[in-house]
Amino acid sequence: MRAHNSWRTVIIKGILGTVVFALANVITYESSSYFQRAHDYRLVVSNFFTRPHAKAIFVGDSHVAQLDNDYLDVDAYNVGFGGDSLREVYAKLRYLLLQPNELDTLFLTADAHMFGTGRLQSSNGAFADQYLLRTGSPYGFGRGWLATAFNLVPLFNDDFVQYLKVRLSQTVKRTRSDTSDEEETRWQRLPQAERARLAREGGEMDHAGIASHPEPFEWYARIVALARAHGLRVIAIRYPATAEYLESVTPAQAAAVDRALAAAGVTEVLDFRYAFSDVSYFKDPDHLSNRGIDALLRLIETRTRRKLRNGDPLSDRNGGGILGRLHALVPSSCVHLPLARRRQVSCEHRQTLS
Amino acid sequence: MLFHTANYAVFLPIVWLVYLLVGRVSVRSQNFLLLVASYFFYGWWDWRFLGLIAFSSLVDYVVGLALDRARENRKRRLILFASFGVNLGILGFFKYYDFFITSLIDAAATIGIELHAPALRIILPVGLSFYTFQALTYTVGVYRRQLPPERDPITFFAYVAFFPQLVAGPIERAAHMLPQFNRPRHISADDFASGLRQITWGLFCKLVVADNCAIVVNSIFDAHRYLPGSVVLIGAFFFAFQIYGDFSGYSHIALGSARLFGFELMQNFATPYFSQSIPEFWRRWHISLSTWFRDFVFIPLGGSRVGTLRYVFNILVTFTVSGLWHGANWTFVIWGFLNGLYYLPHIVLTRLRKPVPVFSTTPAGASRAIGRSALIVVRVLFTFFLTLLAWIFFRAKTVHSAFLMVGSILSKSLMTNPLPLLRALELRNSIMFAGAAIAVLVAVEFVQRDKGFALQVESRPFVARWGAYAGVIALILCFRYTGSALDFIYFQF
Repeated sequence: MRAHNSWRTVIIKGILGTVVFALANVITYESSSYFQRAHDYRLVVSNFFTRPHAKAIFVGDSHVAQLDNDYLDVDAYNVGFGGDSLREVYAKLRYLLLQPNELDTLFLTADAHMFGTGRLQSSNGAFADQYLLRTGSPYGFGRGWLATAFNLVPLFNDDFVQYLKVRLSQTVKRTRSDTSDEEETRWQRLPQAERARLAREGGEMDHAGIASHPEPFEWYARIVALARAHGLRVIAIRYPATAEYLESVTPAQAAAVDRALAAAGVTEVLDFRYAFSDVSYFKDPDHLSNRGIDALLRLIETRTRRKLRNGDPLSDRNGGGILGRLHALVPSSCVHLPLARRRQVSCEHRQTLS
Repeated sequence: MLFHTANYAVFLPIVWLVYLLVGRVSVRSQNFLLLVASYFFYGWWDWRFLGLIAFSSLVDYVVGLALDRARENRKRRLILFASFGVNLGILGFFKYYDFFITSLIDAAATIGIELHAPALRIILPVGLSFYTFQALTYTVGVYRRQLPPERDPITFFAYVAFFPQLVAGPIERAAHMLPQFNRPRHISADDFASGLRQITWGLFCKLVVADNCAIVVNSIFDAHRYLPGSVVLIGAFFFAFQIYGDFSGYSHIALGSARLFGFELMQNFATPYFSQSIPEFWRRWHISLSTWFRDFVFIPLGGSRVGTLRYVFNILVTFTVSGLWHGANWTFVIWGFLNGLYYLPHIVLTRLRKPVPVFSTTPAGASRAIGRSALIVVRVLFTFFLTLLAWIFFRAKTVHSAFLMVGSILSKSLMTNPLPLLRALELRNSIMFAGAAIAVLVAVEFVQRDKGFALQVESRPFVARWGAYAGVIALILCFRYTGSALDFIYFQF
């Protein structure tokens, strides 16, 4: 039998449909690990305001994010996040600089891979959209601000759909990824030749297409200009990585990045690329172990003559640091675990408490 | 403005609400709103070409009035040719100038003559071919005294620029559309709901089927020189569904959008891949264009009521011109000609008074004999394979590439295992999603093949109806293509 509609039924169905859609969005947002990551992302940015007197800010991708805020002094804050491209760096920095702050220094990543094709688009793109929208950015809306605004609705979020597809294909193929903790110990225990091979492979992938597109350079110039406009001193940092990982950056590519930095007016460049060679400083070819992180922070402190490290990263000096809270909550043996594992324990503990 | 973007999702409801409000004033004010909205819609893409559509409309409006005033046949014919000259002149200049110039230079070069002529690299205005053909149905209709001239310029301009079908059809006949513009539109709740359903189905066809297929197609067609026939065939298969999902999706959104405003556009696709023969395919694919060429090219050439050779000639000319209409490239010309060739066995059989049997595809008919069903399946698959080969010419960048691809499909490399290469091209996931989308499309369209569109499920039981809505919406939300927005393929024509 044919179903007939009156305007009344159409309106009722419309309202019901809207309610169901809203509920589906709420459920998706609350249950998906993608939006958990989005939540974490926003938390990293919003926690900046827990350090209202921060003078220095670190921005960049996972090479920067490894300098966990719990390691940093109250005068410094790190909004770096794994996977960020320079667009996301700009978005977050723009948002933070338009809020009341006492920042005077920007530690900006100058790693070559940030200018590669792999960073033309970021998996965090949708997370950073809101900062561009909220600050009325003139840049960063590839498909228009309206499409960007639609992207804030979980079920309209293109990156979420992409995430779903990847998850589904992983399920079909029954693959799983190691936790970073397992990765760290596994990588360090590998034979040197195998580590070198993995480092070269990773380097080639990350450094593909450096300087082949103008967008990353444009974003870089915008970031520097933005920081300068707010009176910040810009210090570019090249983060340490294994020599094999860095091999794939050609002299021409390195020169192109140097020229871009010079063109943007960046004169202070701290180059730590080859600062460490011992494997114990690394947890993988381009990320530092806890030992490496501590050593790097000391190097930056020495070069900039400013205090950056939290005196005792395990104390609760910051009045809210995860490690500080952990110290009080978990057995003492646990705090000697690698950072990633500690985060996991902290998370589990918080869940137990809640 | 693209139908599947956030801009259209905001534009459509705003225009619709204002349309309802001004409907309380007069039909003319509604037409005026549609005209403004259509020009805004078109100008969103490139406002510079608004002048072109306005000029084209003005010419045909004046020609219509002049045809009505003229009494002598000779004068009327002159006016008609003037209209043809202006409309086809604009189309020819923007669409074919560079093509003819470069073809001429190439042809001269083959016989040793060096010609120099400037290629202007002109941007083709979106939808030019569509609205030019639509406007021509008006002047020809008035010339043939099949419809009176439209005296209200607002109505006429709104008819030419009507936004749901402005950029990629369906190519409507003036005799069908102008009366709808002139009478008060009644929008019923059923029509409204039906319009939304058809838009939803169109979005599924475009975002889930066509755009997911595009990833596979682009990779394979770009690298076809290095790929065996088996992989090329897979690329062609996905292109067949890409173009179907893309263009039928556009048409569904156009029809659905128009229905929201109280207009009924002609059906443009009728499950063409279930056709059992090429003539049947062309009765079910891009119906508005096929019937346009039938009425304005094939029949004026003499149609089928002529000698066999002339009939063959008429068919080949019609299909070749139709190919050229699609684009200024020899690949399209060959595509059209090839489809004309596919038609010839049908002509021979009908001339021998052995009409090609077309079996019923209804379940009742199919269940009568398994053998008969199997024959239907074979015929459908064979027809699909022929169209698939022709699509290679449609999609390939050059004629040489197309022949290489067809050659590889017809070679021994067709037997090569495609999986390692698909893995190397990183296409396994894309194929999984596109393949699943095609399976859903084919299954739903098969079940609903006697309906105007697949989501026309009002007569189905409550659970099936709402299950279909929820399923299609969920597929759009969760499995749509998410890269940079892909234009509709037919926008380039």
